[in-house]
Amino acid sequence: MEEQPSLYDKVIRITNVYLGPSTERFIGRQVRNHLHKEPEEISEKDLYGLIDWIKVAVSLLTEDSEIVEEYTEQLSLLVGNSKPNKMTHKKPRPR
Amino acid sequence: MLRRPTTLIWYGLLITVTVTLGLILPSAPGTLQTLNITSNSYRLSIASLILPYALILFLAFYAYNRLQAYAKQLHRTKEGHGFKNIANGTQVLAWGLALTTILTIILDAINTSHPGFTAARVIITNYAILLVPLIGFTYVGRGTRSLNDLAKVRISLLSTRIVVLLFLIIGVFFTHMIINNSHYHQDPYHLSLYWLIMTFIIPYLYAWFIGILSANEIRLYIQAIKGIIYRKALAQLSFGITIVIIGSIVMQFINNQLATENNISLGSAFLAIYIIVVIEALGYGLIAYGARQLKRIEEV
Repeated sequence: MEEQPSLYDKVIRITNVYLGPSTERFIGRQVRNHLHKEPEEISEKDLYGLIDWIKVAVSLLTEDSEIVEEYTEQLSLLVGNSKPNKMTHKKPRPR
Repeated sequence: MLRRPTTLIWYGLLITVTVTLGLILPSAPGTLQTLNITSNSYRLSIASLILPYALILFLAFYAYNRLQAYAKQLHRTKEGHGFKNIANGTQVLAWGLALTTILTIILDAINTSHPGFTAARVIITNYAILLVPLIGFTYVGRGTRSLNDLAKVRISLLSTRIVVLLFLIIGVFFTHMIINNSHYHQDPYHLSLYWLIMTFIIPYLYAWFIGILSANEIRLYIQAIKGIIYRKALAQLSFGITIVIIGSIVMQFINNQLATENNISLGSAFLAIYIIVVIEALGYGLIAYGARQLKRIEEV
């Protein structure tokens, strides 16, 4: 049976769409600096705070508020839903 | 702006030396006749070129400084090696720009008091200028190849054909121009045809081929990776590198054309210089901006 991806894996998968090769380093920094734990240890409870920090960080990287909204919305869908529902999971707009 | 103080110090030192030498030392024999100007007009022309030259050199130093800072941040990552090589290549191009200018000014001055030095001056200057893209593009090429290996991308058949066609067009025109110059003018390169082909034309073509290939490889890397925000920053860096490579090729074409002209108007000379300045400044500016954006992604 296929192993379920962890919450960390899901966060990485979503972030990869926006930050590509720097994804793991970016998430690692946000989790370690703001949540003071190892990235792989993040729980759903941590995700609320993490999304806020990510929103602040990504707003510094792009002026395109649509990208920031879309990214954080994708992450928000992970809260309370350990297995993202493909029906409600908004697809990133093509670029 | 340049956060590593040593780069700023080197930039200040090089620009001071270049400006001082340019204003103090005499021009190369024949320059005043070629441009149809007096010695005072020549000094005024040099003075008016100081600002654009200082700007382009600043942007070149700033670009390699930002790239090195970014590469340093990535030194333990998979991409670190590739970006380090690209940064080194950009550093060679920036330093080469400054050092070849200083060397040209010094050799021109020596030539004024030693007329028999003309051949040596021309040969040394030409080879020094050739070494810059040869070493610089080799480093950049190593970096872009390393990134392509990471992304497991290889040049497509269509891209290969475009690169080869572009290279052939540039190569054939350049070879034609150099051989034509050598044949119809008074031995402007001071080299026999065999030496000219083997040690001047072929190395230039090799450097440009590596340059064109690198520009294509970094484009392939962008296409292969994910990351809307990351790709946008990398695209600016890539576009900058491509423009610097194109600028270097255009500069050599213009330099070699001007080298054989016996009668150039000051306006034409200025136009040629400003075309080069605008292209190079734009390229280095984009590299610096892209590298800054990429570094920021690693900081927030």
